[in-house]
Amino acid sequence: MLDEALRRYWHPVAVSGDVTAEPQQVRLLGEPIVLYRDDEGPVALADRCVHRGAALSRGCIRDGELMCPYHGWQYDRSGRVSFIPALGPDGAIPRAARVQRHRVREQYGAVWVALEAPVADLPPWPDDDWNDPGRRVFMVGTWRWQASAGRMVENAADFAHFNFVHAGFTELADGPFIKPYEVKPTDDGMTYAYDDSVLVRTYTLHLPFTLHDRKSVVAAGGGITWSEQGDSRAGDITTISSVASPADTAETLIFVYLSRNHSLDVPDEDFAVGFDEIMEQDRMVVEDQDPLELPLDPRAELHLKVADGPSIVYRGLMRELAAGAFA
Amino acid sequence: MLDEALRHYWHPVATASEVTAEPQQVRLLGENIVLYRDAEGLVALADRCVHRGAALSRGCIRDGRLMCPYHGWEYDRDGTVGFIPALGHDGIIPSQAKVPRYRVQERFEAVWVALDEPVTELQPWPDDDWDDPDWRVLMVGAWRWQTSAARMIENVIDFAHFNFVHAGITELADGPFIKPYDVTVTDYGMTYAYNDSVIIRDYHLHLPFTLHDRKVVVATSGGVTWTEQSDNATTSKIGDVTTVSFIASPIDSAETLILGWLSRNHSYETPDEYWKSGFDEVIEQDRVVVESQDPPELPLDLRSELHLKVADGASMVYRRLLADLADNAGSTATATRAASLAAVG
Repeated sequence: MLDEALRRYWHPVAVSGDVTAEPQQVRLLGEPIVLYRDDEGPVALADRCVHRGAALSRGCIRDGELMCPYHGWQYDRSGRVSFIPALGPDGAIPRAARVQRHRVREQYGAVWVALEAPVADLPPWPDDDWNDPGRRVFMVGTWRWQASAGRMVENAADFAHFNFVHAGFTELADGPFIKPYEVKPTDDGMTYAYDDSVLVRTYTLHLPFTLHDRKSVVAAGGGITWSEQGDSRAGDITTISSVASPADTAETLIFVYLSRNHSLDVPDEDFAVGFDEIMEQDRMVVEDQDPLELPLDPRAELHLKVADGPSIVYRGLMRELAAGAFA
Repeated sequence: MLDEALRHYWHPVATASEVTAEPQQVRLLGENIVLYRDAEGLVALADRCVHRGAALSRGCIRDGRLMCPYHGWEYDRDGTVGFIPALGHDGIIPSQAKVPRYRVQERFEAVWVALDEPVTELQPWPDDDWDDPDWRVLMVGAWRWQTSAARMIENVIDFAHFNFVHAGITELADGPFIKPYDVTVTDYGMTYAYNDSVIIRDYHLHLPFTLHDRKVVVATSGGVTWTEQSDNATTSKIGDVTTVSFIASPIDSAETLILGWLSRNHSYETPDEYWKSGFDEVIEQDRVVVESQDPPELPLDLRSELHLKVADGASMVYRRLLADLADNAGSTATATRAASLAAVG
């Protein structure tokens, strides 16, 4: 089962700045999770009181503990109930009075959760961008789509739709005909590159849902370089990274980052311009894809050998992942 | 199956004044019902034309008959088709051209439907409030929640949540610690009482979804008596009784219509409107929590949630009663049911 395998990966569930001392509900792979921050850092617990199933995220923090809104049961950060008002201060707390605590960590400006022991670390960036002083990374934004994470990532991995869905924005400089190129499997995904005569787009996919699109300028002039905010030069690199987080099989929270080795004096906001419009163009198409889940059986949809190369390989990798090959 | 058993009970589907000569759709246990009034009284039919499945409630009344909006088939009040335009006036109406007619009655200012032969009639209020001249009863509201009727009823039979969900409004006067109390299984459901030192709350649950919360004043200060709302400062008296009654109607397994009444043996001179105030706020506090309960259906297997022996006593007995009702779908053996529950309880 794909969902079962996905429980063993880290997924981002919220932007760091959105996680405060006030409990909130997030959802990952269909599981409601209550998320908040205390002195020791982020806390992620199953958002279902063991007593009557109420959402703990509708409660509040009292004495440093999460209090259920219904009957005031108080949970400590490990998920154990430490006080039940109806039993009084001397009441013996039942051993079963606890909810599952989830693994949680904070990195890349986001809070990440793994529902089961993770089989992989958080995804790396292709040029160690977060640690390289010659580069600057920022989170462009988050978007919520009514589609599966697999469909979303396949959209981000596909450059053959640019000249149709994003006509006038991010078109391939040499047109919609797709030339041969090679998709190489890696230890944890795949990589491939495509040269449209202005940019070389080097894609790196880390299973299950992280895609880096590293745009390297080879010829300034004649097409979009992604570094026009300054003086585009050969060697400018702009990496757009998408991480899709599966709220459930029909809803996805998308985190998008931009990293660059150029125009460091230009404000980050100048590079965030236009994303809303492009994401919206994609959203309208992807949300209409039926079924919402990415069909992993290669016979379920029709594929072009060259243009759909990454898509064919990605579906194969996800099939193996679902079968437990990466566990 | 719980739903199967519930078809054998009367459920309110609308307030009496909402039901007019104009056909409207109501839903009960997932069934669409078209409801209207004619010269003879109430009519409740399956809201699905036997021809192409159109909703008859989108049609109109013509010559005293309900006409389907799609091809104009006309239904009599007993659900049989009386006229099919496409066949002309001399056409022979097929014998299967009819829709189910449901039992319908009006009582307690509401319209009630039973989908199958009911195993019990509507029960009077605990003090025969509607017929006793010393009591005054009024409907205080109707609400619609996105949850099951059983989750809603379990919320109103539970007094341990007052000091959290309704803090400052209807708290237990002696605090959130719950003292021992007895739950008694009866032939109609269960009863139990809890004394918080200011009022005794005397609960009567009638299966499946009727709950009377009879609040008897035992001390006139130190907490909420439910009788001090009087405009002309009627002081609470020991022996004042205010009964709040809720009936939950299962629209489907995830949506519930709730009707609420208040009955009192005191303060008759205070306008009814005073007694309605505050319900919307308290009901909203409950709604937010109950709609968040996962799953929306009430888990009848006692192992699926965690129970406190004392504080959840009423909740545990209620779940057992409903589980037994589900197991005995269609059975009228309430005495047997009560006996078997007494054995496990």
